[in-house]
Amino acid sequence: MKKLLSLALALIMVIAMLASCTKPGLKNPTLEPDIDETPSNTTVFPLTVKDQLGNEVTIEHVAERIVSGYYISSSTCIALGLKDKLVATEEKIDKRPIYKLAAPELIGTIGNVGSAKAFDLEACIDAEPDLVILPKKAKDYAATLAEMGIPAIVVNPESHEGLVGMITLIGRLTGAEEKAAALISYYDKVMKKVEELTANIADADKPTVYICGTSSYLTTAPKDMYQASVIASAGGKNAGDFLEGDSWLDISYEQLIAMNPDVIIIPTNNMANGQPDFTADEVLADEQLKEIIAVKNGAVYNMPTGFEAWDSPVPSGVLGMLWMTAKLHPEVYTMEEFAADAADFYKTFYGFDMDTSSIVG
Amino acid sequence: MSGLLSLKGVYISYGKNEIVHGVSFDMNGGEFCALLGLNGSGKTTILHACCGFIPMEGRCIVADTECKGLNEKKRAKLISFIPQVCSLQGGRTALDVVLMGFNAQLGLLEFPSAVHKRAALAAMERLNCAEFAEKDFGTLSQGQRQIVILARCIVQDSPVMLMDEPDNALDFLNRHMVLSKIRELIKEENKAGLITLHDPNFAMAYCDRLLLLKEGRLVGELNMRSAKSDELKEKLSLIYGDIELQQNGNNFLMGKAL
Amino acid sequence: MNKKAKNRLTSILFAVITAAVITVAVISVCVGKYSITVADIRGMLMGEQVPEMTRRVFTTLRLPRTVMALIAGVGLGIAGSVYQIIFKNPLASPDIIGIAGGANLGAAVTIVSVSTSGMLAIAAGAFWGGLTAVVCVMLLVKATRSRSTSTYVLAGIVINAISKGIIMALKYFADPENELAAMEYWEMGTFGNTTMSKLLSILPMFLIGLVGILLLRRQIELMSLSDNECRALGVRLRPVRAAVLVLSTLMVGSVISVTGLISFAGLIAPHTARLMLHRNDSTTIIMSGLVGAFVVLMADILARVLYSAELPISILTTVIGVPILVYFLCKRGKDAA
Repeated sequence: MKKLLSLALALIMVIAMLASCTKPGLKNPTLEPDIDETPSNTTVFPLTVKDQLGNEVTIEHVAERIVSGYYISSSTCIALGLKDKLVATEEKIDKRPIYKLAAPELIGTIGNVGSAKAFDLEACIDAEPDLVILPKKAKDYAATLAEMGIPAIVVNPESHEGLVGMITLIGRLTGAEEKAAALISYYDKVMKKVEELTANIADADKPTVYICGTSSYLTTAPKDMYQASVIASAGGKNAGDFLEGDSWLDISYEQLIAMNPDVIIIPTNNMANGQPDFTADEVLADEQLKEIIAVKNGAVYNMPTGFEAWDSPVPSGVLGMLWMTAKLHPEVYTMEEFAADAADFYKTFYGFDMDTSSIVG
Repeated sequence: MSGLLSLKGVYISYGKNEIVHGVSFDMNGGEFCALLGLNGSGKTTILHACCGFIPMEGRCIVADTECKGLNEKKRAKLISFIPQVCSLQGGRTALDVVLMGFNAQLGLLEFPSAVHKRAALAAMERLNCAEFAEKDFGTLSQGQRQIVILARCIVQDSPVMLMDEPDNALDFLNRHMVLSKIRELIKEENKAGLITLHDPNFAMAYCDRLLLLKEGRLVGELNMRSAKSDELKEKLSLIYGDIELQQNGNNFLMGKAL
Repeated sequence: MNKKAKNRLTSILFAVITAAVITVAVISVCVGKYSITVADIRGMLMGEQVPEMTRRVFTTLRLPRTVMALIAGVGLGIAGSVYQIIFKNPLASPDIIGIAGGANLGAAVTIVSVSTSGMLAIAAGAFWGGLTAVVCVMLLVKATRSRSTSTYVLAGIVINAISKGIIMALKYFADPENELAAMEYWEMGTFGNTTMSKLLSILPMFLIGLVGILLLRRQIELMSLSDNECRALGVRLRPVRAAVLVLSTLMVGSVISVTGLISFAGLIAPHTARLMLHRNDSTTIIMSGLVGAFVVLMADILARVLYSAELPISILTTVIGVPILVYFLCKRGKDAA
């Protein structure tokens, strides 16, 4: 009896612990920043905004020295023409192609604040920033910076809306509202264009698309993931739509064979050098998969490497939608047209001439 | 008034397996008794139960105090215990080991004072082992270690001493040395000393009384001062079977009959 | 060796290690990406005017980080030494009674279940996780009705295994980009996120644990005997052991809840201390704390300077601790020969 009682008590302790860790009321705040309907040049400083976690941040004047804590916000700053204001960024910028293409002068010359998780507070403060942009992962560092009187905003572009919110927010704080508005209206244009292109495609003509994760081709995007929405907009059906979730999921060979996709897409790795951990040839050579339609037809495609990870919500993410449309429906939108659009995008916002040979070729 | 240590109707079980079936005896101050028996007869079990290591039924009374249910600290003031070998591997000086004996008298957070240290050294001097007070306990021989443990018993200063084959790891000469010192101590301090031994010859040589234990029951008792050769032979053979006994003055020597 | 020479050697060893700890602590205060000159530090200590940001960096980041590394080393070293003594097991470290597993589980649960889990929430989760695990170990021991010390070690293994299993499940279902990465990073430990407010929030619990352990050091010494011998000497084994476990858990739990797991320091420091002093008593416990402080402070300095970004602390405690241990092992072999 005593033994039972002790065991029961032990169990209760565990449950109590679990329960105490899942207190309600700590809900994720809204993604959309609290901003005026019409961004204009009339922004007055000192300016108080809400960041994407809902925290109020005040800056005294237009930000002139920006520290960006991770790649997506850094890329956004470049797109908004703020590369000269960046005084420190995340580590390993020499490994990401976009810096070499659009801002080679930053490599090796500006500060390094580590990664989102191992954020280097001292290096950040040493760069004497008047605005620090951090991802959600690093929100605690933002709180510490705020404590020390350094304005720090947390951004969370996990969806297209989040991305737009982030661009607007950064635009306001840095006096780059016009550039931000231009970027956002470019997105609207592209989305409208893709919508029109794919509007008349019959459901039966929409191929089933299996998108792999970058670390293994037995990983795919479930229903609520950003990548699933890209496939849908581009006139395809996401093979993983029956799976619940909003982040990469592991599946088995059997599941993949049962999905029997018409097309397999291998996205660009967002991290490091842009190369995924496996190649299309490896997928095609896999004995287990040779009965799948996509493999039989050789319809296993790499997203273009050497630029950015267009499958994810980065500032150039709309290009992923366009590329996917060209790949799935060349009859309405060719790869040549896509190459021209992509080159136009990078020229306009990042100021470099894109080498499109790898895309068209 | 019963003796200094008295056990009344003691039953001890491991789980459902009863090992000791109703043992009772009394011991007086200054008396050195041996508990003799073969392996598995329950000697060590009785000592452990008196020390509170295992539960028992019946009564265990030390100086008119019922020991059953006392906490470790209160019990340690009444009963001290010498194990077969001290479990300490070393890393302390012999003096540190002797000072451990003061634990029952000190508060939980209290530390031994200079007075305690002098008393510990005095106890060691009394047993002629003060010269290794500062030596590491681990470097001492087994015989030296048991003497240090005996010094620890002196400072623990309890009326009853229980010893579980303290000669187990000792050579022939060390056995005599340790047992004679234990006997001396019991006589001088008027303690009640109960020892378990394997060798009945040592028991006959050093103890006042032998308690004969067989399969968890007391089967006989021998008073060494008054016992005659016939009685000794008869009762010891209850445990050891066919034996030969030689008398040499007041001393006896037992051997197995072949 | 006679008594005087031995005592002198012990005093010299303590003086040397204390000086070494103070030296690395001073270096630790001076090292960092934000440039604070030695003159600035002297100025601040003298109460002179220094730039406001320099003062803020020093007081909210630099100094708390050094103090945190110091108390982490002391806490792990002392707890490791205490566990090796009371569990009579040379492999015992603060992880042995489930605290590391529990803290890890608490942190992981917080990371997964509280969507806006900040570091303070994770720290609280880790702390309660560690404490709960140790309480579970004690209840499990009670349920077995075995009173021997080895049961604690086995129960610790059970609770650690359960924690690991649940963590694995949580990891499997975690979002790899955020939650999984956060869990893995927590397991490697860092002092990079230490701030004054975090330090102050755990300091009271750490000090309660430390002072309690130091006050109970005579009982801890006695517990190096077998359970029976301990009882015969009047040690109230169960309550004392429970108190020692809870106090050491406070000490270790408060530290690792903020820093994440720090491996090896709690295992290496006690061995080194024992090999240095050739004894195993309360002086060894204190020496172990000082050795731990030296190893962890040194590791944290290297974590900041070896690479352009911060390195996880556990990599470096191993790198620094192992050579020290090997040196003393070889020295012992030579002394014995």
